[in-house]
Amino acid sequence: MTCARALRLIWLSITSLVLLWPALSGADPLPLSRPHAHLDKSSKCTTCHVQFKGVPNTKCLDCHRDIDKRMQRGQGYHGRVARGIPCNGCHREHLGRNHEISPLDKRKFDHNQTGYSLTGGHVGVGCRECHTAKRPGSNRDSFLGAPRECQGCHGEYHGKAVGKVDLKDCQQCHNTFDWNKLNTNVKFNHERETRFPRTGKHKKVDCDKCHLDKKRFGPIEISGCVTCHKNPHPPGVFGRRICEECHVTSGFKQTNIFEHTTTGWPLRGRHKKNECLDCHSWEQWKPRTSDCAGCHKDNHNGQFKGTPCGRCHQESGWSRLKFNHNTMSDFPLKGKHRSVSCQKCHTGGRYKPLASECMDCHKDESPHGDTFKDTPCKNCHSPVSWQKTRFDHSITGFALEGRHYEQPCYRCHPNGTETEVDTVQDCAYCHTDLHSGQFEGAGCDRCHSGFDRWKIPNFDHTVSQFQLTGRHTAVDCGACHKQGHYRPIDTACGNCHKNFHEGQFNKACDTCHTPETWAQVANFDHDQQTEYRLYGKHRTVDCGKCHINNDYKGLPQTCEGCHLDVHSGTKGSDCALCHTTADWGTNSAQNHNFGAFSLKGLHDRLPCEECHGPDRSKVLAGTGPECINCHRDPHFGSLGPQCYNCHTQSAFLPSTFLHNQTGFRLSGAHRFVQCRNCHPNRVFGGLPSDCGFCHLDTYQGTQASPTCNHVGQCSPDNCHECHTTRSFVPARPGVTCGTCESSR
Amino acid sequence: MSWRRRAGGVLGALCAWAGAAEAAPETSPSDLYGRATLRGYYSTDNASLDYPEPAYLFLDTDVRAKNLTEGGLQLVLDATFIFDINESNERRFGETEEVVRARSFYLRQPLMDGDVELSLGRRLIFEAGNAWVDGVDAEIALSSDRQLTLGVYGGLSPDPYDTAFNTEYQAAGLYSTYHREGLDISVAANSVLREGEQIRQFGFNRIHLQMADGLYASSYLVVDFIDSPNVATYLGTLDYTPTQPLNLMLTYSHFSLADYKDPVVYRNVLEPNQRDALGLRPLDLAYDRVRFQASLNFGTSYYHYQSVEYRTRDQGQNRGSDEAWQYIIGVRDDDLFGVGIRADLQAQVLNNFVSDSYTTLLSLEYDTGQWLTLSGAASYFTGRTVGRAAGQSRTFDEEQTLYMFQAGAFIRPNRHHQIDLNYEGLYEADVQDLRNEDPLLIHTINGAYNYFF
Repeated sequence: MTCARALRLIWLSITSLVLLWPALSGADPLPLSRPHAHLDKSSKCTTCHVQFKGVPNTKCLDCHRDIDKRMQRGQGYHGRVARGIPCNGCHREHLGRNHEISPLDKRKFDHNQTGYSLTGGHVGVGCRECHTAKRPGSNRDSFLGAPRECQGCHGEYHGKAVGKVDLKDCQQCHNTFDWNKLNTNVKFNHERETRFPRTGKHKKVDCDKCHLDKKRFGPIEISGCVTCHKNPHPPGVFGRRICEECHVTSGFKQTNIFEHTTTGWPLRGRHKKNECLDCHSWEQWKPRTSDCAGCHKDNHNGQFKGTPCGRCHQESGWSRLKFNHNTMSDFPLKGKHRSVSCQKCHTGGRYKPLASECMDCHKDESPHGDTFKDTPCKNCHSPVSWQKTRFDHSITGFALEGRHYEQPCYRCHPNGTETEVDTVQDCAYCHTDLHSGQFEGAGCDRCHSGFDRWKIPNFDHTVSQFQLTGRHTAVDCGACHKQGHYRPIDTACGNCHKNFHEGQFNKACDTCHTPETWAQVANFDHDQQTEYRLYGKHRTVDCGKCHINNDYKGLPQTCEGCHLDVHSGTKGSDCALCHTTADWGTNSAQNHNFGAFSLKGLHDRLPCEECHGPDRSKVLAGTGPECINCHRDPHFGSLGPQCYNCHTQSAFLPSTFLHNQTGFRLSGAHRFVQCRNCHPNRVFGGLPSDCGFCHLDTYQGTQASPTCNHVGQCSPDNCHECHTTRSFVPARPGVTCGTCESSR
Repeated sequence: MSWRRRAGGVLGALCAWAGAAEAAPETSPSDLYGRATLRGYYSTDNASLDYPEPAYLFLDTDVRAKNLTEGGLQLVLDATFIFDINESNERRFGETEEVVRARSFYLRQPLMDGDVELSLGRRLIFEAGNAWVDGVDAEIALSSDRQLTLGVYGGLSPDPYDTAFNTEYQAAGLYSTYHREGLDISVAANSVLREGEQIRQFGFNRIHLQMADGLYASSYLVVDFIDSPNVATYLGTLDYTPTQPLNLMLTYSHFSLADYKDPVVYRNVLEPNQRDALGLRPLDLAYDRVRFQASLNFGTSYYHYQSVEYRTRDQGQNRGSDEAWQYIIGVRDDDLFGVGIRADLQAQVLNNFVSDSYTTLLSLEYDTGQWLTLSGAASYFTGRTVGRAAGQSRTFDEEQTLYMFQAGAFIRPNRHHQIDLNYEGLYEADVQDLRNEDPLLIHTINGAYNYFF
């Protein structure tokens, strides 16, 4: 026997001993648990066990049919969680009679795994409050078969539902957190699901206002509005009429659906706006009479007794009379009488009878005294206007003309009693002499001609000693002739004008100023008459810009005398180094002049900081005009520093190079050839100018031509002798093969 | 150019404009300024050749917004959008013209009480010799009054050729500035990479010095280091104003091609015809110039100037070198006859290596003082081709006369709205080689509406 065979035999023996040890030892298993005690017999082993297969689930489920069904349906804890798990994995057996085969820790059990989550108030409820069933054929409690519907535990609280209402779906209104607190989004539709659709204010009424007993949500008997509402009217007033004939759910007082015309008394005008109780009362709903007097008091104290109110008044408004004074009375209203309020004439509410003579109303007014005695007022006056009379003034010998015609009588007849005997036909009788006798004896009409306007329209000032010219012609007379003083007058400028120069100039004003325009001193030449010549923009500046406070003499002639030094002294005081009077803003400064080149274009519009740094401390003086001092050279340094020979300062592109300066003028097709065709690699200088530099292949290509082989016949340097830059073919007129040969 | 690129450009412009407009309510007027300019350009002529007439639209945007937030965030935008109306531009420049040319577009945030300024976006760093980065730039004040600063930047680099945003190029560098009264110094070390490989390394130094009252010296130096130290650019200026009316200026400059190791940068696509003459490398081109200039002020508005310049051009071993010179004399009066007209009369004699030309230019400008400035100019040019420099052959021995005239108006009803209108005419006459074409008359009009805010 080899060593290997011996080892194999030992291993087989040990394994057999381990496997057969229980049988060989003769030991019995522990008893089954109490529920399975009836199977605890040696003859019943195969009820659960299958030889060589242990305890398959099918054996358990053969007895536990309810569990089997639930597992097949995927229902409950076993159907959702325990499917595929050996039953004896949880329900261990042969551990003694008192062993609990279905151990359940009620505190840790996750009820969500059963498919019925416990939420809200359900969390604290004891298991047996819902799981009340017993196992079939046993008195043992069962956890199966607890009702899922609310009513299963809570009963039908609201009673039986009728019709479309499904009161079993408690979750429509309730939740598990608080039974009395309804869901905010209750899906119950009272309008569709009941026979009592709510409208108007019914929609806002709390449920228990109608459903007095909360348990009765089933149909409640409704026998008209009075089921819920109290009838406010005296019994029998409206006979058999029902509430809905007058009232609506949008508001009890909104009774406009009631057709008042059915009462024989249609409501019109202001009556429509009245409240019912304005005319009706709870005690006596039907008014005693349908006349106005039934509701309204007679303010006329019987003056119109027998005349219906409606002859003058309207239902659209008591004060809106339809009474026509012109047709319904003996005194038609004309002119200003139309706008007089009724009470002015009908004092004390008295409407008739009234006297109709003028003085009956105007008895307090006697403007003329006894002057016109018994002459009726209407001979001169009319109701249209008291002031405008029909009186013909010309019969007095003083016909009214012009502005006189427009004047009210009292302007000349202040007492109202003056006649032609009392008045004098002289201007001074009415007009005050504003000239205080300066023109005494001259007669007003010498200047004030006509009666159309008092102001002198075209007084010819030339008759005076002071000719009006320039802006003097537009000045009001009173501006010079103050307080009505016309003569004599001093004609010196200072008499009217203030001397703004306060004596700085010992000269007459007209040495500089003219009447044409005061501000532009037309007679003054700043260059000739002062030591400070004006250049550039200084010429267009207003005098006051420099001569502040009217100070004209002894002004500083340096720039900072007028201009703010924006450089705060860092650039010195000689502004002219950088600026000129032609344009302060642009950098046409002499420091930006570099001989033939000067900065302008876009450079003019750049802020100084762009080149001289944020604080302008970067000094660039002396660096010269070479662009490379600021700009990148896109030509790899192949051309030189003076970009401005080809590029402008208005725009870098397109360039403006004048190829003529190179000695190789671009003509014909050369004008449109890409630059890089001749100037590869953006190097532009020093290229050969002979044709062969670019067209050698064309020259050599003629070798293949049977008729015109150029090679050996002419030079690639002299193509232009036969060809033009406009096109290689055809050649110049008159040129034929052999021409070049003959020209050599 | 595809419509997508155009649409992208328009969209970009609108975004920039909308961004500026959105920013406005957040800021006070003094914190936001800049402009948006819509320019149009159109040219036509009497040539019988049927070619598209150039017509472009440009939108220039320039925005400086400060204090966008309480922390002092700033926005800087400087960009031009080019719209080629009838695609004539594309025919002339091919793919080199991008719709969007953004020179600067970055946010700047002061930190640590302003001792550190952090920029994010596209920034052209003047202090670093116009180094260009699409990335981050931090500028640190090393002294309390920012007298000494140190800056460091890094990120992507715009395409050096067409300025387009891309991920192919990268850039990084270090720079420092020193500033006190009368002295400005900037030094920088910059590196440009393409797909991770360094293709240019250059140092930069700028000095501006006030040596005495009225005496300034400045220099601008770029040295390429990629293979061996090589002065790519130098500009030195000595400026002296002995008395206020007189100014003297002496300038020397050396300009040569920036030394990018990778010729792809230059779009160096040579035609086979040119390759024989130029080789595979870009032109080895260098200019040296010396210019002396004097100007004199008279009175308050009169200005007289003269300058003379001598130039040499070196085209490497293949093409040798040649020389040129230029003389300019002119007078300018900012208040001609005392009526506010600004006038400039200038004459120029130029020998431009292989050509001689003489130009007289008169320009006038009158500012009405309120809202209108009128301008006009006329010039006379006559030139001819001379010599056969450096062994070059020349096809055309040409001589011609040009008359140029210009009229313009600058209308500014208020500070915000400004309009530029301009017409230019060019008449080419007396062309010696009239076998090619008749005298040519070219009209160009351009106008711009500027909105300043």
